[in-house]
Amino acid sequence: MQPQDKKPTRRVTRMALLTAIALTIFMAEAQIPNPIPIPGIKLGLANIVTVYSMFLLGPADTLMILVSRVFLGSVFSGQMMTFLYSLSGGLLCYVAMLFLRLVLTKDQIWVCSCIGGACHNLGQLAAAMLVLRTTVVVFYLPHLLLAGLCAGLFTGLCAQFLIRHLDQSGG
Amino acid sequence: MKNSRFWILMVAMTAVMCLVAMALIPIFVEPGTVAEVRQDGTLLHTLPLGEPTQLTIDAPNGGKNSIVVHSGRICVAYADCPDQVCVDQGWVDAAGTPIVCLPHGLVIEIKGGDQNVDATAG
Repeated sequence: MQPQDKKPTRRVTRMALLTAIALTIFMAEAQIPNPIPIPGIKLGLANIVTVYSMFLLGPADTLMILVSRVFLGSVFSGQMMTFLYSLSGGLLCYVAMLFLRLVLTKDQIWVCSCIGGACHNLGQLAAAMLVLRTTVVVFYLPHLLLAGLCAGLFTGLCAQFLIRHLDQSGG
Repeated sequence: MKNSRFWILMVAMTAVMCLVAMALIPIFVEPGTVAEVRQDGTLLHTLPLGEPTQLTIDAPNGGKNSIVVHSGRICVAYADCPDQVCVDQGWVDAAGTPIVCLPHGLVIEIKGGDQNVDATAG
């Protein structure tokens, strides 16, 4: 793990770069038709950036990157309703990762992402229950949890391989 | 916690529990007779699934959803949102699969009829 960077310009530039990467991934993924017709399920490839920065840059920078990406993503996709769902999911996922990063080793980054993915969907479901003022959506809880785990596993493994290769190449 | 086996077990157990729940839900929910159309929590229409109907619902934020009821089932035939999840959900006739359109705040909930047997009321 790299120590927290003391140079502010470098830190801001790196956060901006990661936000841009996350936003690009987010927008590109939105163009792919969703094969599973259940509300709230998607791959969430932008999570790779969140997991990466969580383990390499620390919680403060990650929160900034996450919130900027969620906000800009909703603005660019033109659906402000997504903002609420993405934000509540993203924040719950963030809190889960905050604790998990303390107990996990570098070879277990996928676990962090897996549980984070499940928590993301839990947060989204909670937001949906509040916004729609209905409890029927709990029927989708098992679907959403499972999808979160699978999507999180995939993005987590991506982040883990990414971090391992960047370590080897000295990035 | 250096041992990955613990985490693999945890994740696998959760996944299996989800799969079991997904398999059990369709068994325990019965086909309904009435569909309740709600927007942001307000009940707009109560549609008996036995009578074929067709109606368009305008969302407060400018969106549109066309709902079709036919032969005991209900579906969203058209929506002007980009994700189209509610349209892709297709025909629904059981309480275990509410149709949800998140961008327009629309929920279509199936109920067992006048007596409201199931405890899923919002």
